[in-house]
Amino acid sequence: MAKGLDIGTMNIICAEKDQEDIVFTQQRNAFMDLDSNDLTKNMLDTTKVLYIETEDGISLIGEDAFKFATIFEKVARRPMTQGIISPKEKEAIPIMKLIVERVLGKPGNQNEILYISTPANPIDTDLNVLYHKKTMEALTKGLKYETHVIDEGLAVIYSELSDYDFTGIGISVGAGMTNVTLAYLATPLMSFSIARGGDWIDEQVAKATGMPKEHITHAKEKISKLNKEVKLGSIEGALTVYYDALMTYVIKNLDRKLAEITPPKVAFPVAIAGGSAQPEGFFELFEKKLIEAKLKVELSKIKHVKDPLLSVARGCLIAARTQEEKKSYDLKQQKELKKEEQKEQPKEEQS
Amino acid sequence: MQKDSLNSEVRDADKLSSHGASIYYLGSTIFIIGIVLIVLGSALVMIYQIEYASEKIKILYTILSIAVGIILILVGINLMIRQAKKGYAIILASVVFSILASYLFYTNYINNFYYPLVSYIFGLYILAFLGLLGNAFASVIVWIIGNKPVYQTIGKEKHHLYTDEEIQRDIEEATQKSIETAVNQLEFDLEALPKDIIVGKTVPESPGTVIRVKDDIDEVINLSHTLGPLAKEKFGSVGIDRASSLLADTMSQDKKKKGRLFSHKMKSAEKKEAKQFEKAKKINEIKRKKQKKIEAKRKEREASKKEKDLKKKKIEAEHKKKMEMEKAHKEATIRERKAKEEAVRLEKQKKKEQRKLQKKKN
Repeated sequence: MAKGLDIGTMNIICAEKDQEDIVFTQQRNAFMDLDSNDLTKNMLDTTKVLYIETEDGISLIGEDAFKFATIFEKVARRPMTQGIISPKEKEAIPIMKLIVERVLGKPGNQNEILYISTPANPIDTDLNVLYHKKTMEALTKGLKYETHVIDEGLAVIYSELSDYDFTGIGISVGAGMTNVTLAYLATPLMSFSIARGGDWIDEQVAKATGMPKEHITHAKEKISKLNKEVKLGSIEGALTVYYDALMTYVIKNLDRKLAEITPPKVAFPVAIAGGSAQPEGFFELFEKKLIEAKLKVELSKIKHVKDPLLSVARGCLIAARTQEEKKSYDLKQQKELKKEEQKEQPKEEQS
Repeated sequence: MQKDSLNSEVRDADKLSSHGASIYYLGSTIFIIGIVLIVLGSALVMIYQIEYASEKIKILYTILSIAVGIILILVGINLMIRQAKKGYAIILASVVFSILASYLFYTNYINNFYYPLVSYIFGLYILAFLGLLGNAFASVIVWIIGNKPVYQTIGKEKHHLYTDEEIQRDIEEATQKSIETAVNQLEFDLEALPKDIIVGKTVPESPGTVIRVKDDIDEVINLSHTLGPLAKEKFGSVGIDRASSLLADTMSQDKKKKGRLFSHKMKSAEKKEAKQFEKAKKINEIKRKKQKKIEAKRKEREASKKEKDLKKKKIEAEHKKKMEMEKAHKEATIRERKAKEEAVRLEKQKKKEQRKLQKKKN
């Protein structure tokens, strides 16, 4: 059975079909260093915490890294930054390999199809995502999967805009990057990313409020609602302000890119997903800004996504299963052709 | 060699520019002279108080100065404007005609100013006037059109002049292509985890947080329909840009062909496109509904099949149980019978022994 894998800056999520359900396996893409000693190791083994041990000490992996970072007021290190492998982290690739292996598991059959999400090229920095794409592709191919790559924005379109014949704008607001794709009948016409996302919001709010970034991340994930009526000096207020700034930035860049192409004259629905789109009130705020922006394309509907965090992984799974069906269809065709050829050969021999 | 050719080009360019400047200055001088003559002629009209009965010589000088002034103004304007092909030939011809007309007028006005000579003089002058005026107008129009170049004729060949944006885009596309080719040729040697990394006990057991969601992902069927069996998805910035630019080219070519006069046809073409899209959407919806029905029927069939299988299994299990119970019952009865027989046999043996004992006693 095919699988989809969302490799995000904050979370790595695998989606797989299991009878009538989709099973999402999620792991945080983070690690944290601790001093190594027997007592620590025993404690970690007893409490079933994920960790690895190196010459330099112990590194906690995944969600536990975040929790311990908050408790011990340390910084959780991230193998990825701004949507791609962090050049500053030497252990980025081994850590990511470990997390991806755990999350993906072994393939069910030989050359099982896997679709992984990758960001589009950013338009506001000079980062190039090709090396990251190739590395992730190689990493998953090394696990004996037949890997294909898909843009995050396109994965959102596949997941959410099926009722609109996969025509529309897909926006994935992640931790490291915001990806935007415009597609017409499942064919992408425009795809770009912006090097700002949830992490940028955390950094700005941390600077504004003087609180540690991990606290802000934790508060952001627990926030009740994005609201313009907040208590003076609260984190919610700062978060709302910087969410607003991020949305404005995304919409401005979207408008600029739309001016460079000639899209078909149809109304485009918009689907917004991604981990950073989870707070309540996000969609209403984004919808309002999109309508006010009066983009160069007509917008028909702004779709509220049920599970913004899981949407990209779901889109990758849809792409993978479609590819799998196509592959089996092609195989069937080949077999039928062979049969026909074999039938014709004896007839020729008789004649 | 290259330096010499460069130097000669520079010298030619200098010559051209100095030549152009001198013509311009000549033109402006002639223009000023023309204005002066017209002013003089206007002044003479007032000074001589020209009327029907005025002296012929006074009329001659007045008319000549105004006529020549007009011609010189037009010549000056023509020389100041960049000329099209044969522009200078037209100027020269017009000047010749005007000189001829002026000469004939000067020699014949006082004593011999009769028709058809008058018409010849007037005709020549009008030819010169219109020639110069028309040439100036044509040169201006050509100059205005020439300021929006896409094509610049160099000799007989036409060359496409690329804008900065197009050049930048071509460079970016070529760079991106070469990076993608180079990256695709990379072969990573992925070893297992480095030997100095020891994995904790929980790592092999726990993949992460598992979330189960009931979901049929019908989108797979819709995506297969939309893409079609032979369609290929293109992503990656070069592929997307190409798709987008092909679409833009197709649409802009349609626009160019139709032009402004056919804007109403453009609008109807756009309406047609939207209708076609709606039609395709409806067709896809119908296909989707059909497929959903087929899927639902298939699921029903599978569910009923499962039910039947379950029933069958139940019946089999019950039958098996029954059989086992019967077997157990049979075995129990056989055991009972055996026990009874054993009991009877023991009784008999006991009686036999009692009889033997009695006999012995007796």
